[in-house]
Amino acid sequence: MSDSPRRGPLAWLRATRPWRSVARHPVPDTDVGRARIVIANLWLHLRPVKVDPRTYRLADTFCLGGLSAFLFALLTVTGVFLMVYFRPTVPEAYHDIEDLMYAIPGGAFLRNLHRWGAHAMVVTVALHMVRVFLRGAYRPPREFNWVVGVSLLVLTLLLSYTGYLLPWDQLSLWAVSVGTEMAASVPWLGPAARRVLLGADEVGASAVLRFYVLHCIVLPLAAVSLMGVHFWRVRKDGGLSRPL
Amino acid sequence: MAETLDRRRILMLGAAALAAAAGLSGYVSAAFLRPLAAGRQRGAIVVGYPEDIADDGLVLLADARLVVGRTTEGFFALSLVCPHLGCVVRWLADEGRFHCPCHGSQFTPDGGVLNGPASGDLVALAVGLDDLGRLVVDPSAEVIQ
Repeated sequence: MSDSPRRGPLAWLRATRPWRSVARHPVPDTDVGRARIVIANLWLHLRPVKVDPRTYRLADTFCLGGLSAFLFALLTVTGVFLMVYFRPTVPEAYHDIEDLMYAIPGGAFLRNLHRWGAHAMVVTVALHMVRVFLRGAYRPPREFNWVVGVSLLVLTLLLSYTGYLLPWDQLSLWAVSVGTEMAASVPWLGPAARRVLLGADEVGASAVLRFYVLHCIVLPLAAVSLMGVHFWRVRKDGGLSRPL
Repeated sequence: MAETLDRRRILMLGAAALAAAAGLSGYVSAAFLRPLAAGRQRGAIVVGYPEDIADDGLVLLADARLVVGRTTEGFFALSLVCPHLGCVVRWLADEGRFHCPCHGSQFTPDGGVLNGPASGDLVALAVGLDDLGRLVVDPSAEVIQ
């Protein structure tokens, strides 16, 4: 259909220079043409040009890494929406969550997506790790990616933990009190780490702000960077697990 | 379903489902982002007519978490939110002071901190009169003392 000349607004649009600068490849009719499009596109090239069909066998991976990545994307989107209303201050934080739950259209749905998505991500990341361990997928040449994965597990737990403080209810307050006391029990560096984490001697206004910055900026940026490495290593180390 | 589903038809169905999902999320996002017409506790709280408040009287507005008091110098309003960790302090009429049920901070009737763990006084709020001559308090307007 693409080779027959057409008229109309759509045909005109397709002939404009901006359109052709975006849709910059001819409609491919060969494997080489298709491969070229994939290689020249940032998003498409995240997937290999060719995939061994056996890597799609569900029982080999249960898609747990993909589910974790999907949940991370979900948490990023819902988190950005929550940031529109949430103010990380002692007088406002709790009531902003209350507003989200009871006053703002779709707020409860959004917050629950974020909350349950976060719980689910901890589960899928843990199961992903169990799967990789039981199948021996951490063995050479994938040892480095196992180390990256362990770091991502730690980041997932830290993201979950820092988000826990933000609703600023009794559960948050005491969970963070207990958690930072645990950090303080580390020899030598512990008490200093606790002070840096809380920005004070006890959980209060500066702790809310610091946990907010960690939760929304520092840890997600670190996670995205390591996820880039993680996915890239999957490809470099020979793709998803499959029969040799 | 007389026709078989070929690749094009599946792709078209998928695109239609995607467009429907995008439209729905666009609508929900717009509803979410539209500012609330009347947010909870945003804006001034009406206390009542000034002459109804006795000298040295305190009017507790528990729902709005604030208290309005009268001294010989005039009216003042305090937030009942403890500056320590945000619990709502209680007025102990017998002892003539505010007491925080969470960690035991205590404050004088005019909001000065008596003992910790709170490190500061109760937050003073701006008091004014509306068009009808009633006392109003703006919970978002702190008075720097």
